[in-house]
Formats: sequence, structure tokens, C-alpha cells
Amino acid sequence: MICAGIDAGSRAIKAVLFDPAASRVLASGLADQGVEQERLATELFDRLLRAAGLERSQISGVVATGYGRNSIRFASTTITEITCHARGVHHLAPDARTVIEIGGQDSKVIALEDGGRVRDFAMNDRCAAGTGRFLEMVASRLEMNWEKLSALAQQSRQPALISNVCAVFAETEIIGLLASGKPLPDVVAGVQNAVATRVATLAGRVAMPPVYFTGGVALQAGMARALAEVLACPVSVVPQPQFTGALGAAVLAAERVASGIRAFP
Amino acid sequence: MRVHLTSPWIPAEWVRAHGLEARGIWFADKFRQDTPPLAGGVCAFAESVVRFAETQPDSAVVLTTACDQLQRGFDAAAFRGSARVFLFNLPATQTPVARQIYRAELARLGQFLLALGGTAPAPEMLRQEMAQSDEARRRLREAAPPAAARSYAESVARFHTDGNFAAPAVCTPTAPAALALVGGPLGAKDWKLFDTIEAAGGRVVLNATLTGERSLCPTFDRSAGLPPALAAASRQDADEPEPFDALVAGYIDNLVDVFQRPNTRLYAWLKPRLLARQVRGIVLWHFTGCDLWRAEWQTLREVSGRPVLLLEADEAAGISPRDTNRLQAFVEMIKQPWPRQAN
Amino acid sequence: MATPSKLNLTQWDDRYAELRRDGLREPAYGGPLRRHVEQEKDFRLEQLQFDNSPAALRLWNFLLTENERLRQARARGEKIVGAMKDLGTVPVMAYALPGLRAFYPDGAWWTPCLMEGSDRLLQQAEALGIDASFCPVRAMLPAFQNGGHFPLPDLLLCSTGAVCDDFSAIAQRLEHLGHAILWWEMPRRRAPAAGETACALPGNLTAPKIQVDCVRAELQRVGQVLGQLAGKDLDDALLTDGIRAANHVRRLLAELRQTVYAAPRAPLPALELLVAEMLALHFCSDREECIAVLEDLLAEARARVWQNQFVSGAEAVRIFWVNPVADLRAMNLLEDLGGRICGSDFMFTHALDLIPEDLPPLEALARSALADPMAGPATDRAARIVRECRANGVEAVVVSRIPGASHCAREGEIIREIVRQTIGLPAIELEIPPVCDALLPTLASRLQALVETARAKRTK
Repeated sequence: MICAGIDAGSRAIKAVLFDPAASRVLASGLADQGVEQERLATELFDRLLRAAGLERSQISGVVATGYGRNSIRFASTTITEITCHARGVHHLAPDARTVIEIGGQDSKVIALEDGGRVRDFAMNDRCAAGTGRFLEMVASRLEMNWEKLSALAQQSRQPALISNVCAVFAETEIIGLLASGKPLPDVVAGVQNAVATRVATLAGRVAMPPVYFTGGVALQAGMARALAEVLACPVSVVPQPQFTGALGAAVLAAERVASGIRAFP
Repeated sequence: MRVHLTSPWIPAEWVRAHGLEARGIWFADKFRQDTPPLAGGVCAFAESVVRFAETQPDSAVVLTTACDQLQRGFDAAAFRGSARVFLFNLPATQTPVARQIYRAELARLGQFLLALGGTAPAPEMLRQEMAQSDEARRRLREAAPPAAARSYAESVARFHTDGNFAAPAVCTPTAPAALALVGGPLGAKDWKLFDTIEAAGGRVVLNATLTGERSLCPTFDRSAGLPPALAAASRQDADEPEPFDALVAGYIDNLVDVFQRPNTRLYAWLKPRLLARQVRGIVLWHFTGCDLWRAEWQTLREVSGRPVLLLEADEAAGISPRDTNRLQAFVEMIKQPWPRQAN
Repeated sequence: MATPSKLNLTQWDDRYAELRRDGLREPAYGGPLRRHVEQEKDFRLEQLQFDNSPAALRLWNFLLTENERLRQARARGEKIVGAMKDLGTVPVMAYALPGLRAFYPDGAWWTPCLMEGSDRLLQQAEALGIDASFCPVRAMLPAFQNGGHFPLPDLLLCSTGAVCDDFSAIAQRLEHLGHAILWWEMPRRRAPAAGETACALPGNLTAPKIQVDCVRAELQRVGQVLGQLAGKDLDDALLTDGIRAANHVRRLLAELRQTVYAAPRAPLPALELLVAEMLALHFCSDREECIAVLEDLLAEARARVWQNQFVSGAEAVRIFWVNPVADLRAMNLLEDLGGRICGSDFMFTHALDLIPEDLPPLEALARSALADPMAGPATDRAARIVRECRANGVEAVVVSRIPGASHCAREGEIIREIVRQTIGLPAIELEIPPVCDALLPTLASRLQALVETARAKRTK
């Protein structure tokens, strides 16, 4: 029995093929998001199948998640990304009690109980501050790419304080800091701290350690450290954090199939 | 003359006893039909009330001081020249002074109703109106637990519209995800919330919004207003006190709302119902700009011991795709096997 | 007397040394301003500009040592009363009793500004369930929880009813966090209806007797509780003395405002006037010292007017400012751009008006409390603003919005419209967060445009 998870996020579509018997990911991949979500998801799915040497008929179940999940018509069912990220992190780190997921357009803090059940969650999906979008805005403003932003933050000696909670005004504040001579690495590290602080206020309502960090922004070097500082507890980054949602979806697909719930349409 | 009430704590009986038509504004035909442009910090509901008052020259609107938004909405309406608006000072505390204020405000509202062309209420007329609404509220309260959420909301809406209603449809509970919906005024436009919750596999078993079950709290003790000895005697010999006293007591002693200070009565009302109906999660629903409800989010979690999803209505038109996503995630969460005994 | 000027903190270090050399005598809470940065982390002081007078030094030290003053009072066995929301009434009663100190925990709203966010009070408030959609008064929540700012009061009193939603909600959350509150009802002030007995209130207002009676009954209840705390009944004699003392402060403030606002140029800066006006609320926890501070300021202002020495230029545009600013820096900014404050309504004008002394004291206090500008319609506020604008030759009005404050959503529109219709003054609205640095260019543009508009009207 092989199952698949598709995470149709705001920036990228991610997919995972999962063998529950071996508890192993057979293939994973991502594609840029676009208007024709189902076509893009189908192409990605087929690409993974070829890479794994599998046919569609060998897939027992597909779960779609993410904001674009309802467009993935070949999925057996849809489950929200809250549940999927929680399941994915629990699969990778069964001791997890809090999952922080910072994506392109939103951030989530998910509290888990024993067994990976979601106990509570909080989301920021209204405001760019505290999301990957804010980091992208800053990277764009500073005319550098994501990786360079990440590297610069590592060079900071004294992160700047970004006081604004609104991304628009924070951008103005950042320019002011640079104009006043604040070193670029300190400003970038300050931006990471601002994102972490925004997320930490969500976490303050539901979080307890052990804390695991996932989502695309977890790939930014320095972000986990920034979160750990504001939360005052260790924060671990899960392996391949951009695929946690898709992995969780695949694991849930496997659980549904095992429970006898009809899979492929 | 139609008198639109913006709160279930303004006795419709009083308006009807003056010979005027009392209607809950939430279900009025032209209320919240369009999406008003909102200045920063202005609540969509309050703004809709103000605009409604401006566009209904043949009706009157009674606003209350239950919140700053409505209070200042009244100021805006009065400033813009809406003639037939009345601001009812709804006291926040539960002290003798609060009762005095409520009583005086009812009397003052009576003067307003007379000026609209109403007639001075005969005590017998008031008694009849009170008896009818009391019986209707009792029937609706008793119908709450087994009723289908949307059908129940419709029945309560009909009650607030003209006092009449059909018994709500009973539902056979199948969904394990029992939810409570708590918050401000839920109008007909917002009922797709029930559909979204049910589509996700949940079920609203307690509608504790301002226009739901909570709005049925007022009840009349026929002996209200009398000292205890006389009260006991009155039940035996059917001597009835002045109905106005009973009206005042029936409302001020029983209203349950977030604006009360302290708002312990709200939680005293909620807790046993959450337990009795095995509620597993609470959706706290409010209009953007409503500080009073938003501030209760954390307290609601702590007092109820249940997860609480905060949903806000940005505009008059209802819930957004983003909120639909949150609701689905919330229902998924509470559908999980219950790990421990609910408290 | 030194030439009036505004100094930054570094310049004040030198100025302080100079004053000490000249024999400056200070109260026990005196000292260099910089110590508040070092000891209390009031980093914002490094961004502000202060008046250079010893009177201003005393004012700032008085303000910035309040928490310490309260802790010392507690250590001496005095009882601390936390009054909330009524802004000016309950402290009059509390200070009438021996052994009581009253303050407004609401005042913690300036802590995030003064500490430039390093206090993290606003983030902590969010973790307690009150986020940025509420006004900066939410800073008092974690201050209560962590006890790191003011000492926990022995009694908490809060007015409710005709109050703003966000404050009411924050206070209710405070109670749910375990801090018992005695709530007292403030009715929504209205004009008397036909057939109702009208009562004159301070500030040219009227209200029906029934409302005054309700407030009086509530203040009686408050007085009983205060008396129990003090171990002494708050009788009419004590209350009369308390009113008299409060009126002494109010008279001083009225003279100070009149001296400054009526002067051809500003003898004292707007920032110091804002802080001074706040002393009306609860005397900054020391009624006697408050009087001394105001007397010093008044003497300085008078001396400057007499000697034709001012801090503003001759061209400064006369501005009426509505609502207090969450970031004190905004007051400096206005003056940097060519404005000067010649009138103010910081939401507690009833605490500036004299409490009637020809009425029974509780009745007098009730009328004073009911004159709270926030308990009535914005049209009443606007009427007073128009009167003061006319009296002080004001040329433009600024309505400052407090982020998250529910009353700001609508009142500004009404105030500006009435100002425009009745006296034809230009008026703007702008929102000032607790740390407004990132918004400075925007705020500056708008204030500068207002100043230019007002100046252009002069030449027409």
C-alpha cells in the first residue's frame, strides 16, 4: 500500500509518496504554484510516480491539503493543513508538543497531545508580519535572494529592534535603520526576530515544549534560533520542513486506507 | 410604526404594549443588505445600524449603550440627522442603581414611543404581551437541545421578528463534533456558518450568540418586584403586582451578556450548558472592531477548558474562505477521539 | 534665568551639572534625568527633548519616580487604591482619607513608549489574550501579573457603563486573571428631557437629576469601601477638604494652561504641558508634592512671559490637540514643525474643571464625574473644543487617534466636522502608536501640511 499527500500551498505545491509498511518516504518534490493548480499538482504527482517507478494504480489513497486543496480533484479527500502538519511532525518527532509552521502567507502554532492529536491551534493568516511574505518583502527591498538573506543574518552581532507589528510600516522602519548606518546583517537579524516575535505571541497562547519548527521559513538559517530566543526554549527544525504538510497528508491517507475508508475515486 | 430593536434586552413587550410594532433589527428586510465602507475601527454591525436608521424614515431604531460601537453609532446617526433613534442606557452592573437606571430608561423609552404615535400601555395589555412572550421564550428554550442549529436560529429569528415562530426541526445527532457558538448578533446572512460547520462534520448544539438561545433569557416571575413575604402570598391569591415591575425585574435580573460587569453571569449561564450538551469546542464569533467579545477569547478557553476558535466578520456579508478553512481545521481537531473526561 | 530652550538628554546632563554647581535644591526624588534610562530602562528619554528649566526637571523626576513612590508608601503601611477609567474622581475621595494613595494603573500605557518596547508589556498582554486590536492601556495587564512596575493595589475600583469598550474589556480580563474589582456604574450622560429636573455640571454641561442621583449613589458605595480600607468613614467634612485640595491643584493647572495658551509665544513646551495636565488625575500619587511641582512650573511660565522669553517662534501655529498621545515624541514633533499647543482635550477635561464647593460634597463629585467627556456624546466634546479654540485663538485642530481605542473610530469625524462647520478651522486626524519612529515621516508630513494650511489662512 503506497499513499500520497499533496500540499497545495500559496507559493508551492509539494507532494510526497509514502510507504506506511516501511514507514518510508519513497519520493518527494515540489513545483511552483500557479493558476492551474490541478494540472500542476497532477504533473508533480506523475513526476514523483515515475521517479519511484510506480503507477497510479499502485496508489491506495491521496489526501490533499493546503489552501488550494479543494482544487485537487484527484485526491480521495481533503484535510486542513493544521491537521496535516501536526501529523507530519508527529511522524518525524513523536515527542513534539508544539508545532510552529511559518509559510509563505501565514503562520500557525499547533499544540499537540499524546499521539499527535491536535489540542489547540492559533493562526495568523491576516497579516504579512510573522510570515514568509515579510521576509520575501525584505529580501526584495534589499535586492537579494532568500539564501543571501539567510547568510547575512548569521553575521549579525547585535540584531536591530524592529518595533512595528505591521509589515508595511516595518519596511519603512528597516529603510530608516539602514539609512542611519545600522549594519545590514543586524537589520536582517532584526527582521528575523520580528517574525519570530509575531509568531511567539501566537505561541504564547497554546505552546509548550518540545517545540518543532516546520514550513518553508524553517529553511532560513537563524529563524529557529530567533524563535528559540523569544520562546525561551529549544526549537528543533524537522528534516525537510517544506514537506511536512504533504508528509502528514500522506500518513493520514495511509491511516484512512488502513481503517477501510475508500481511497482513490 | 415599526420600532427596530438592536438588543434582546429591550423589551419588545413594552413596545407592543404601546401599540407599536417591535422587531429585532437583525432580521429586518433591508438590514445588512449591502456592505458599507468602514472607517478604521468601526464595527460593521454598528455601521449597518446607523445606515439602516438613515434609510428608514418611517421606522424608529432603538440602540443601546451595551457597547461603545453602538453608543457612538447613535451619536453618528443623531449627528447625521436621523430623527427616530433612541439610545437606551443599558446598565453594565447588577446593583440597585443599575435596576433604577433600567427602570428609568424604560419609562423614558415609553415617552419616545408615545411621541412616535404609540398609546399609553394599559397594565392588562402589558401583562398579555409579557405572558405571550414568556411562554414563547419558554418553548424555545426547551426546544434548544434537540433542535437542528439552523432551524433553531430561524425559529428564534421569527420570534424576534414578530413574536411568532414554528417549532424548530429536531435533529438526530450523528456528528461527534459538538460545538458551541458564542458571540455577538448572528443574523440571517451569517447562518451559512452552521452549514460550513456541518459540512466539515461538526454540529452546533449551543447557539449562545446574542440572537440565539441567550436572547431567550428574560423570564417573568409573576411575583417579581414584591418583598419576599408578599411575593409568596401573591402566588397563592393571584394578586398580581404592577406588570411594569415584573418587566423590569424579568429583564435586568436575567439578561446574560458580555458587556456586564462583572460578566460572571455569562459564564454561569454557559458552563452548565457546555457540560450538559457535551460541547467539545467553542467558536467565538464577533464583528471586527468588537472589543468586548474579542477580549473574552482567552477567558473562555480557561473557564471552559475547551479549545476556542476566534472568528471575526470583516464586513456585513459573512464568513470568508479563510474563516471556512479555520472552521474546517477546528472541526477536524475536535472530531478526534476525546482523550479525557470533559470538565 | 537661563534662556528657555529644549534640550536632549545629553544636553541635560550638562545642564544638570550646571544647575548643581549653581546650588540647585531638589526634593528627595530629584537627580539627573539620565538615571531613569540607566535604572528604569526608560530609553525613550534619549529621543525626547525637554524644557531646560529646573521646574521641568522636577516635573519629569516627579513623573518618572511614581512607581517608587508607591512602593515606599506601601512600605510605610499606606494602602494603595487602583482607580481605573474614571480619570479624576475616585482619587479625590481616596486622598481625602488618611493613609490612602490612589493611582491609575491605566497610566502604564506610557510604559511601552518610555521603555521603547523593551518592557515587552504589549507582547505579554497579547499572550494574556489582549492583542494589538486593543489600546495601549493593555500594558497594565502584564504589569499586574508580573508586579515589576507599580505595586499591586489593595483595592481596585473601575467605572463601567458609559466607558470605552477596549478599556472595559481589558479591565474585565484583569478580573478574570484574579484581580478583584469593584465596579461602579457611570450612566451615559444625556441632556435632560422635557419634564426632567436639570442639574448643571462643570464644563457648561447639564444632565437630568436622575443621572446625578445614580452617580451619587455609586460614589457613596465607593466612599464606603474606601472608608473601610482606610479604617475611617469618609464623611462630608473629609470629602469637603479633599475637594478643596483637589480644586487647589485644578486651579493651579488652570492658571498654568491659561498662562501658556494665552501667551503670544509658548513659554513652556507642549510635552511638559501634557505631563503637567496628567497630574490632575491623581496628583501623581502625592498630592502635596504635585502642588509644589505645579507651582514651580507656573512660576517659570509666568517669569518667561514677563521677561518675553519663549520656547516657540513667533510664527508657531496655534494648535488644539485632542486625545493624549501614546508616544510622547509626537509633542516634540509638532513643535519641531512649527506648531504650538494652545488648547487640549486629553479625555479628562472634567478633571480640570473645578468641583463645585457650594453643593454637598458627594453631589458635587457626582456632577463632576458625570461631566466626563467620555461619558457623553462627541458633540459635547466638540462644543467645548470650539469654545476653547475661540478663546485661545487656535488656528488648527489635531485629533490624535489612539490605536485600538474604540471611541476613536467615530469621534474624530464628528469633532472635525463640527469644528469645520462652526469655526472653519482645518483639522486632521492621525494615529500615533506607542513607538512612532517608523511613522515619523508620515506624521511629519501631515502635521507640516496642517501648519502650512493654517499659515496660509493667516495671509488671506
